[in-house]
Amino acid sequence: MNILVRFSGDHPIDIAADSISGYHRPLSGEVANLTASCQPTAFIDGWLTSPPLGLACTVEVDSVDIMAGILYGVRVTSQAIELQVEG
Amino acid sequence: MSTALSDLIPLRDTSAWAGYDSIAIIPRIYGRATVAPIRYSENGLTFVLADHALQGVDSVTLDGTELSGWRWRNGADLTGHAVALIDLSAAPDSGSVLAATVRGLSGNPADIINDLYTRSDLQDFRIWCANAGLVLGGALDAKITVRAALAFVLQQVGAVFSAGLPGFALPFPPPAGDPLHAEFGPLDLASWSAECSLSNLVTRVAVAFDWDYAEGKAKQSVVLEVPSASARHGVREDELALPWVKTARQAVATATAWLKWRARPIWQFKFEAGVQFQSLQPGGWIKITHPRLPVAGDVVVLDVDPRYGSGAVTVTAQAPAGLEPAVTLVRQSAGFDA
Repeated sequence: MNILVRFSGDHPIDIAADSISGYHRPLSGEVANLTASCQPTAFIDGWLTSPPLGLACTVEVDSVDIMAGILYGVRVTSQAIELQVEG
Repeated sequence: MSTALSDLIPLRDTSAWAGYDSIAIIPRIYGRATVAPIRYSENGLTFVLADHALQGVDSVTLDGTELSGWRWRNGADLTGHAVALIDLSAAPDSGSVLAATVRGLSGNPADIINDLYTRSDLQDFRIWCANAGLVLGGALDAKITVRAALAFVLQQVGAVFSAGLPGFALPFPPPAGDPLHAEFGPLDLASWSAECSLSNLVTRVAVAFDWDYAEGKAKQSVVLEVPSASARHGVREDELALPWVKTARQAVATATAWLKWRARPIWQFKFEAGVQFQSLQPGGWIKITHPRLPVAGDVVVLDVDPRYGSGAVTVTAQAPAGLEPAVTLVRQSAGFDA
């Protein structure tokens, strides 16, 4: 499965993710946010130092767009880097 | 008996006066402030200004027009409690707005803190306030807890407090030249995380200041912005209430420091460290480095959980990403009476 978080803007970049959590499409509504877990190697140097919070992005799974939103938050741990996307 | 932070500030109200027909809190006034006098005598000629003696009364207005023929005096109310009063030569109409600009207790923020929550360790903060020319003016006229009152007063000068802090209060962020209290390398950090969120990011702030307690509105305002942050993250607006700040110079200085910290992604760090760091104090700078951390360098300690008996402490710290941005003054306005 190929998961990509694609950022547009002046410096477009695609960041590969390993998995997605928090993405639901329940009856009577749709949760409009998700968290993509990535490896540190998915990022170019310096991108994480000051992440472009608020920048528009799309989340793509196997070449299908599943959400358009903005980068809302970033969480870094020793295991993974999580990108929170708000739709 | 000592005061708890969760206690209410002991403010008297007009129910202390037998037979008084409405309940209003008799204010404590710090620095220079414009307040609405509380009618004291049945004939409408005597008014109470504050629940303590005042240094002076600069002016009295009725519907915005300066009155002459008033007399200020410090005295006692019918319970024997010290109050400040004014006597008018004629009773104002019931619908008119009476206002008095007065000089109350010391407006030095450290003195205000000491009045609300007696401390003997505020000398450094008092000197910092005096050196920076920080003087507040306002009235406490609502029942709030000591904790809320301390946070409110310190917010007016961009400062914070903590019972675990030597000196109790300090400016936030602390001065860049303050010493480093500890250094943490990759082998000192365990169970660490670093988070930043758009919800903490502010690129434009509207600051209302110089509150008129008689009119119930701010007399002045400024709007500040970090254009580079607005361009990068979108315009994220917030409001900063500084009702006790009297001058535009002081409002802009406080709001500029506030905005510089928040106009960048703020990384919040949480990690475990050895028990030798149990005595680490909040409000101090520490240095953290780790190859996996998004940023490395100096960060401010927000909290230390000593977790006695568990063999580790949990440290929470914060630092904004990137370089300090330039702040611009977008708008400045002063209220006027129509």
